[in-house]
Amino acid sequence: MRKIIVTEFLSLDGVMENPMWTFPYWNDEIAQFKAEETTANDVLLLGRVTYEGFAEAWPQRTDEASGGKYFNGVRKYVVSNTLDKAEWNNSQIIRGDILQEITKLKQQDGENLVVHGSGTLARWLMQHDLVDTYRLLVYPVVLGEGKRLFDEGVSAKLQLVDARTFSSGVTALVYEPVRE
Amino acid sequence: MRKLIVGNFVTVDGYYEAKDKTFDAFFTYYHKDYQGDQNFDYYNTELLRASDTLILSGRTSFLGNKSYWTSVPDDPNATPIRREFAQLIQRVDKIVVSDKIEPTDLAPWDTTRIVRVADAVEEIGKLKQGPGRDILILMGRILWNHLLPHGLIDELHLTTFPIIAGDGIPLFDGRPPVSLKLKHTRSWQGSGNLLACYVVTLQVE
Repeated sequence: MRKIIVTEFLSLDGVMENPMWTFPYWNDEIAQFKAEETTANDVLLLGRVTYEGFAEAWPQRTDEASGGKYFNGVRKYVVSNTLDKAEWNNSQIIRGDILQEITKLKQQDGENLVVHGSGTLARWLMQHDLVDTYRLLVYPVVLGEGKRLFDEGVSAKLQLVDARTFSSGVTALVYEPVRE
Repeated sequence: MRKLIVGNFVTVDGYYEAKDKTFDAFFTYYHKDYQGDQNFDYYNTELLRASDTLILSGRTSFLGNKSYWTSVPDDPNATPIRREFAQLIQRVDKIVVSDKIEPTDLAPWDTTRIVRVADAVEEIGKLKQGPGRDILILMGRILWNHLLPHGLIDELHLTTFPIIAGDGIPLFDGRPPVSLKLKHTRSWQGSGNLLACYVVTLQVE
């Protein structure tokens, strides 16, 4: 049974959209935190917007250090009813009965299903109580606008399983929802 | 120059309070292992011990605080830390920023000084220039969001509670023109809270 890991860059006011504002804070500690999410047998589960951004950016970066080798190589599922084709290496579109498709993926043996960014998909997964772990990097910026990760209407009990502080002012919070 | 420190909690999804203006609704979604977690009380008390002025925001909040904290000494179920907080809040110099509050609302917290909203920036600016220890705002988002663009807040101490509220009033109003530097964080064994203390600097354009 695979776990669904949602990993996000968040501003202090909860915005996840187009996280260009994270660049000045990047350091080895963040790189290490992100590297923990990129094990060889993981599968990526992405929304269309994040997929398209990744599919444009990553093929130009093929070295190991940048993560390019991993992102270009890893198996990717893009959840979209509008996308016609997914041409990035090792990509496949999930459409139609998305709940059934994702449940099938989740039941497979293997490592995690990792969701990077993909706000709409992440919120959909939350609404269906499918998220097993949140890995949140919280940046010391207040943006005031932009799409937020957590949409109104979804509540969850969480357990804090890890908290780390990085020298660039970023905090890492790892939560697991509690199902009773 | 005295420091003005804000102590506030926030949910993982960035909410200050529920839409009905209470905090209670948040705790419907609170892990049972964290029930009775007193670390936030301990931290607020730590902040209040280091301060000699507490600024409260709004008549409703003032009256709610007054009513609750003056009842704690007589409440046999009150925890020791809340008893200590009740003593401290009784003694500390208090300011209430409100246009609705009247002097008759203050008793028995008679030492409280009333500042009207239009005067808050100037009065708090003056207060910071004077002698004394830290000045504290606990919760009070409307007030501190109002003060942020005036460069009057020195530190934001935000404790993230392990709750996705799903709905509520956001902690921040828009994008304040400030930059934040993480000073330190703290977590507690057996608690789902994470405290992050940020130093606030006004960004002058």
